[in-house]
Amino acid sequence: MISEDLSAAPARFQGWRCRLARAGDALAAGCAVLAAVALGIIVLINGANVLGRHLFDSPIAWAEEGMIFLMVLTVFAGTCTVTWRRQHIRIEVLVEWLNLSGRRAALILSTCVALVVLGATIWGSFAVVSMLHMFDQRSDALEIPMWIPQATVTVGLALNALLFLVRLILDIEEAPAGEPPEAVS
Amino acid sequence: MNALIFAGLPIALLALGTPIFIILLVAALSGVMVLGGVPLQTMHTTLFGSLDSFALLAVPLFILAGSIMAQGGIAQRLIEFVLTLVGGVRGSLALATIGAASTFGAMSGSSVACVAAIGKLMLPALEKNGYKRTFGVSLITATGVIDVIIPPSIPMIIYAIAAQQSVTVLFLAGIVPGLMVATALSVYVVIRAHVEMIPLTDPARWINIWEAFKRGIWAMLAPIVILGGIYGGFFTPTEAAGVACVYAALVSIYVHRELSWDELWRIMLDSAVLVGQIMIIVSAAGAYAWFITTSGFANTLIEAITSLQLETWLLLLAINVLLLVVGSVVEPPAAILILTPLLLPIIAQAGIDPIHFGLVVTVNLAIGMFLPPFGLNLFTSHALFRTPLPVLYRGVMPFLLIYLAVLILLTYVPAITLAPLALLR
Repeated sequence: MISEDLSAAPARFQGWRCRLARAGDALAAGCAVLAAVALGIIVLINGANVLGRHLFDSPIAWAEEGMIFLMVLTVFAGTCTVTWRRQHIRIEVLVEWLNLSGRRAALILSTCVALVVLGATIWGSFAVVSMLHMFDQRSDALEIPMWIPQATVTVGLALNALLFLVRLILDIEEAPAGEPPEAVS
Repeated sequence: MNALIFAGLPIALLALGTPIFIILLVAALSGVMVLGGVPLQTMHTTLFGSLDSFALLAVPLFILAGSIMAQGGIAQRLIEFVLTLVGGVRGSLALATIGAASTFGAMSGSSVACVAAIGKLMLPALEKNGYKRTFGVSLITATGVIDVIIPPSIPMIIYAIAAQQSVTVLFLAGIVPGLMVATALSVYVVIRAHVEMIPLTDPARWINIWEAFKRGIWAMLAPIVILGGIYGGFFTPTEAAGVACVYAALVSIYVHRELSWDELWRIMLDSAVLVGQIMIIVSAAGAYAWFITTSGFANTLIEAITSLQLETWLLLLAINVLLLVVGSVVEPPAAILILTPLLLPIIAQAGIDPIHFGLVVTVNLAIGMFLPPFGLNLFTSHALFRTPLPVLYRGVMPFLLIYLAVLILLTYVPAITLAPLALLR
């Protein structure tokens, strides 16, 4: 089970690297908890909405909108944990043919590509959220400021970038003589 | 230039082992740069917009429901009940495996969960009954993908979103192909059991059936609640998925007493992370699809394929081969999100029904999941049951041929998928 890894201490690192790895672990664990809570609330709202409609003829008007916003939160929080654990869906069959240093180079290169593309996307995303905040645009049903749900994308991408960066630092710092860089936790 | 951005660059990054969602973002971002005049903010709008769908909510909810059912005793009771029904028939345990996978498929929609849940319970029983281990593992690997074909299926939901089709209609269209696969596999395992003289199991006894029925009644109600709720007009597929979560949790905790609140919390943590893993691709694929459409790359592709003047049957054959190859290396949700925006205009041009095509896509990608050498279920079974991959490759071959035969029928006889839809019209 994925959750078994949540509290694993980064025993392979020492000093500041260890503190950095622990911070990454804590951030990833916090994101998983946030995503799970949001998922749980979706289930509860859905149940209340179905019951309200069938038993009391009174569905919750904001249910769909609220659940969608929570789903966006689940996705972007959950994906931070996936990034930290290196569990993103990818095709590794070709990389596995490479030798150790080739695999290491591919991993570092692919992390750099991720950082560049996330950086640019965050830049554009921040502009959208700032604009929504400035115009105080509200959602249709919940009537909450739209910058709040939209900011989950910006913050989620930023946290992902941060975790990719921490990974990159730890990968570069780690001596290449041993095993290839693996998940910290 | 467009071909380089939308196909060349992703393939190069794919080879590097870059996460698929990053590849999709790179392609979309390169599109922004090349197209000119498109603001960077479009990336954000499409990332958020592709998740802004009520139908898509069914995916995280079915992922959670499937996990609770697999770990809360519902899957186990279902298998026990199916086992009591098929006693006294040669090949009964293999039949029970197919029956259990099909019923589990009607509740969860996750193929890997199906292989794990069914395999752990059925493999020891199959071996004890005289089946070779290779056959047992191959059977479980191949039947596990029925989950992808029998509704409610997560790939079907994702196709429906990507192709802007009704999830309910797609589910209905998937029932006959799912049953066809189950029937074809059943015929094969019975014939093989006769050839290999697998010992007969104890005959089915009413008392055993009744006992298993009483023990599993709440488990058996799950597919009725889900599918009955959808087709009875009580819930939308998304609501049904949420109801399935609550139902599975309550039954597992209070009726079966096989799940504690702590364990439920761990399942929720795992499921939330899995949701992040799958649906970040949905989000990024939205940006990718937007740029494919806006850049005119889809039109260029259609023109190129139209200029080949392929007969429809040949076009479908070529698409089938492409989907099988892609399906063996990319998980179904990602493959659907990458290929649907490219293939849909082509099949529309050829006059192929998008619902029929959705089933063709789903079955292809399901087969891809155990297509040697890279199918995901092969690795799952290899990890779970410690069967060497070369042995597994040989073992799944007969099952592969059966699935391919069904695929050919399904591809060239659209009535198989479209006839049940008359019920809705």
